[in-house]
Amino acid sequence: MDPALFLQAAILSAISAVIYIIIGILPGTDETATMAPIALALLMAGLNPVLVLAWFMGSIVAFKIGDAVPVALAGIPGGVMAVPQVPDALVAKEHGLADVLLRKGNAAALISATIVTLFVLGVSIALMPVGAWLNTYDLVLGVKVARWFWLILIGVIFLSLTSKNKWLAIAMIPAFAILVQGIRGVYGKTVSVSLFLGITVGPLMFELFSALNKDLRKSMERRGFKEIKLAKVGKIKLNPFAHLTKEELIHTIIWSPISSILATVMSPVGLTILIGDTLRETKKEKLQGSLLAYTVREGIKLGTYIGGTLIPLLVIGAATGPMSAGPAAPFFQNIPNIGMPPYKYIIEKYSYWDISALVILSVAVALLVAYPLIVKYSRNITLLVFRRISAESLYGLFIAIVLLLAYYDAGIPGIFGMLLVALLSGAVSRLGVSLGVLFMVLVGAPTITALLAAL
Amino acid sequence: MNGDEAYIEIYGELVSLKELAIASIISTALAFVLFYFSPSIAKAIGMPNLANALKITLGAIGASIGFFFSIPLTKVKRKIVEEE
Repeated sequence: MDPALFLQAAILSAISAVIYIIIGILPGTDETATMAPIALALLMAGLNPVLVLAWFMGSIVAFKIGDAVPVALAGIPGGVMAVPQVPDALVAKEHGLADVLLRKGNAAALISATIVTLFVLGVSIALMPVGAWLNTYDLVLGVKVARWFWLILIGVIFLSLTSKNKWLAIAMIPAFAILVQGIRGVYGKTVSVSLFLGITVGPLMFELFSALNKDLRKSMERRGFKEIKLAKVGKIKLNPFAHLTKEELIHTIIWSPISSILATVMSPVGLTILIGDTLRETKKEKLQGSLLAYTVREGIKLGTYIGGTLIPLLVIGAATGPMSAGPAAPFFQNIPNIGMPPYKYIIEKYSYWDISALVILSVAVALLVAYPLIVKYSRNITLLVFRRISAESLYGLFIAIVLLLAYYDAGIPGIFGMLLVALLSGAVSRLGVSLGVLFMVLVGAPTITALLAAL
Repeated sequence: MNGDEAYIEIYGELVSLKELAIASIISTALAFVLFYFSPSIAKAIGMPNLANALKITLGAIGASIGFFFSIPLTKVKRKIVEEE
């Protein structure tokens, strides 16, 4: 690989880290809605997919480190993945341990990102032969079906069964596949980008349109400003090992790699809750349980995001889980100007070792930027972001990017197709269907509808 | 506008629908203006063959400029209390 490409990757990862620390700290910023459109815009703008991967790895590290800051200091989540952390953070805050929590979380994130990146790259090379097998096609009911499709189907059924409204989630698998293929039929081409964006902004759009109804708006109305109490932060040592107990360190080292493999087909939020809550229950004392659960969850957050992106990208060649079909989905969509999905471009054009070196470099650069920044200036950055950046300006930016990409993908019909998918996604999400179900159905829609028609 | 105005709570953030509309219109308008003028801009910078590739880049730059314009036009609705 050209050395200049490594330099560009390092620069992009550093820029991405700075931007995503801010987005991570801001409350109400959903990972998929903020990471996917930007990655997609970079790919569609013609940036080399391997450099977009470097950008994306930088954004994972910085977002996951950043979204923990408002949780620890103010008890409000910076992203969806930080939501399960709130109750335990509040326990620590009540005991005046907000800054202890911040240090522990940061340290676990740094250790996890380092270990998981190396672990996932090692596991991926061992799993490579499985990838070739998964990409073989079989004839089922007269339909050509890739073997990885069954992995998606198992994943989507599993995710449906763990959704709050499992029966609706199951029913949405064929129903949403038909909607997707129907829209593609109307457009006369296999669009993915605008439909994918529709799912990402679905919950936000649904809330906004609900607010336009006078009766519904009443229940959403609040008077005055939102009061946020920001805890004090003392001096923090840079050495991550100084902040963790032996037990926290061991659990982080064990559970982060395990969750990185499980995230290939399982939900990162689900894994974070499951493992964190189980660990908390092992402790008799509430505070000790909360500190352990919070710390290990910070590691698991990074583990699921890194594993959930890299294993499907390097080994399977299909978006098989909520992470690869969600925030990382742009790498699995057909991008018109590349003529193939970016993951394919990356693995066909570059050797495994080149990709690994680039991934390690981008994670290292993002950690070098994000970790010291948060350790030294977490309170100042939070104050600056909370005081200066309004929710409206950020939502406005994402709405503009989504409209632009939907228009680029399929013109004016692309915008309305996106709106249709957004409102449906927002509605079923409100009814308790995990959005991951819809993301995965979008990937498998052609095969699902072909199999349904053949029945 | 004052602190007693009613806002909509979305994802734990207080949002004024009017300000959100203003911010979205500014960002979207600037995104589409740069998107449409990208062929002329590409020509002006001496790279007419990049007109198509520059469309999304310039559109995203337009949206980002809109974001910076929106910051002073929208009000932050968080009241920060610093604990000592």
